[in-house]
Amino acid sequence: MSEGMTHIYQPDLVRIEEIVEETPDIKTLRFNFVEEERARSFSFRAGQFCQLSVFGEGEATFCLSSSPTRRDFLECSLKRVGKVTQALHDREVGDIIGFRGPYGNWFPLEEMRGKNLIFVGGGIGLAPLRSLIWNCLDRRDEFLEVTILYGARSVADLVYKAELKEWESRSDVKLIKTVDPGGEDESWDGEVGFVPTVLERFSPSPQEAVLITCGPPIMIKFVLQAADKLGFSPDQVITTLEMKMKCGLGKCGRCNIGSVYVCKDGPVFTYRQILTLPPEF
Amino acid sequence: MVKERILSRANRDRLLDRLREEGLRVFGPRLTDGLVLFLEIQSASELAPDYRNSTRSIKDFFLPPQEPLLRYGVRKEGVEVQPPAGEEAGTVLFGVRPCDAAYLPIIDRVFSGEEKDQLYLSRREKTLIIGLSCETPEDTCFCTSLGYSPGGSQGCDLLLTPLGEDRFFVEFISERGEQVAVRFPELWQDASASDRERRRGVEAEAKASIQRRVDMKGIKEWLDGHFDDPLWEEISRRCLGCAACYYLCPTCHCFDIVDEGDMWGGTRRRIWDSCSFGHFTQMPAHQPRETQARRYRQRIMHKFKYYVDRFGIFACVGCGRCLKACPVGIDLTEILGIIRDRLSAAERK
Repeated sequence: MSEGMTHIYQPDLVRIEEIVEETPDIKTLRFNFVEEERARSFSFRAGQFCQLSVFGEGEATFCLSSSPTRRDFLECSLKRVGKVTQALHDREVGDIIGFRGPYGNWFPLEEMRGKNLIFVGGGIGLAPLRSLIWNCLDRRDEFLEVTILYGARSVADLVYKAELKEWESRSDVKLIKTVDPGGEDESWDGEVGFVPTVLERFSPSPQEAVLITCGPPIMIKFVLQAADKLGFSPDQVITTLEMKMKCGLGKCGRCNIGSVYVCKDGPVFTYRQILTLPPEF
Repeated sequence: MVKERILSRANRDRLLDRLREEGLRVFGPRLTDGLVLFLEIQSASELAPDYRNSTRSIKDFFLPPQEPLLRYGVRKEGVEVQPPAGEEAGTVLFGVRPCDAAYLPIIDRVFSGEEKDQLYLSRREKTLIIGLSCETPEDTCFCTSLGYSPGGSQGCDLLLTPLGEDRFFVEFISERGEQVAVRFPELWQDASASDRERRRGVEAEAKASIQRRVDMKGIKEWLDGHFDDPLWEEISRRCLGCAACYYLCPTCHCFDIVDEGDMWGGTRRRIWDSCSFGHFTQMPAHQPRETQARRYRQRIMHKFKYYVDRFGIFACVGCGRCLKACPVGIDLTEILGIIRDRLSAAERK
């Protein structure tokens, strides 16, 4: 075999260093590059995504859920929903998987400076927000109030439980946690109600604020409506979209919403940008 | 540097021999089992004596139906990943019809740009395109509607136009084409003014014989405003979602990446994939294109709106393969015609 042709679809090898079982069907994988040089040169920004692969099973798309400010490792949180996520869930510490990225655009951190930040997450949708939340908390001085509203179907479905506790105990963070009606248990000390409803109940002020949201499509839809009702302008609301992707590079032709390629022009969009897209997501 | 010459049929045959002698692999249209396919040839005698266009487009050479992206092996010591071996020999595609050649500069825009697809681009670099003007277009041809021509030279390195009497008018289009002129000076004869005249005549005649015409003016603008329209349901009702149009279309370039093998070793491949299929956009809990109407809309929108928005050009060359291949008779030119009619109706109002 000749030297071989390197190309843009070639993954880096990463080794799994730690696995956290977040919920019955969500795990967080912490991993790092096998090649030290790649680990040193690698950088990304909160909001970007990657392709993880298990050789023999295939590739799938995940947002990077660790913060760019923590440079010793990368993390992705993945829900077991299909072939590749099942295979990733079956990996053990020390196993080697494929990684391509970082891809896509990122949250407009510079434009968020000096503002009140309101994070609104649902289910595993907290994963991309978590990257940004830690990014902001590691530069806490640059922002005003930080509010995190996070909800899941049930107490068992809440991700990053240890971090929720940490945020709860911090005086410079306001955490509002909620579970869907019927999802609470006896020891639950948070809210009960759907995320958009709880958001309206707490009615954060749009003054000098940015609202960043991610969650299931239906939740995003109602959060956007709630934000509108609370007086947030479409420029003040940011979300990150999910579409099926293969290449992550604008070539394979499937993640478009109208003329916009989520892998290239997204996944991060303002609500104003979303309003211009055809309703196909 | 003279850009035009005359090539006799005997010298055309010699040209192919010479290119082969340089170590290039020469592919040309060959008749096999009733299909005209670009297959490797050892001599010009294997070329299909008379063909209008190849059954499959030349995209197979640049974005093959499947290609390995890597081979992997899992050992105790770790995972070994090997990229595919680069193709060593250069390739000559001889007898490419102008519509097919014209697809290349359109689709180059996707595979070049910020992130270069080295696999596609290295094949582009290593392939010499020798075009052959059409004398008798098929009744499914509509290249002129898209601004192309049976004697057009876009995407060609050389273009041959038959003048009759076993003579071809040769145009050296690209730098790579000019190098061919320089490498084999003994093959060419000077072209006269009347040869030039005749070459224009062949093109004009072929152009005039194309009956299928669509006025593309305003199509893109109509699509801009009609994402939601009953048209999508109407035109896709018959669509089986078989993707025959995708497979034969030169400009359709969507793909999937799949693994083949087990946990110890195997191959990751790029394979063709089509917006006609539901799985194309199927996510675990979400499917943005649930119906064939939505998928068909994507096909039309991608070619005639999204591609224009992103790259400033229609992703269609009017080769007509999609209408010839569709098992239920869906005719792209008819659809574009319906859009035109709606435009005219709107203009009259």
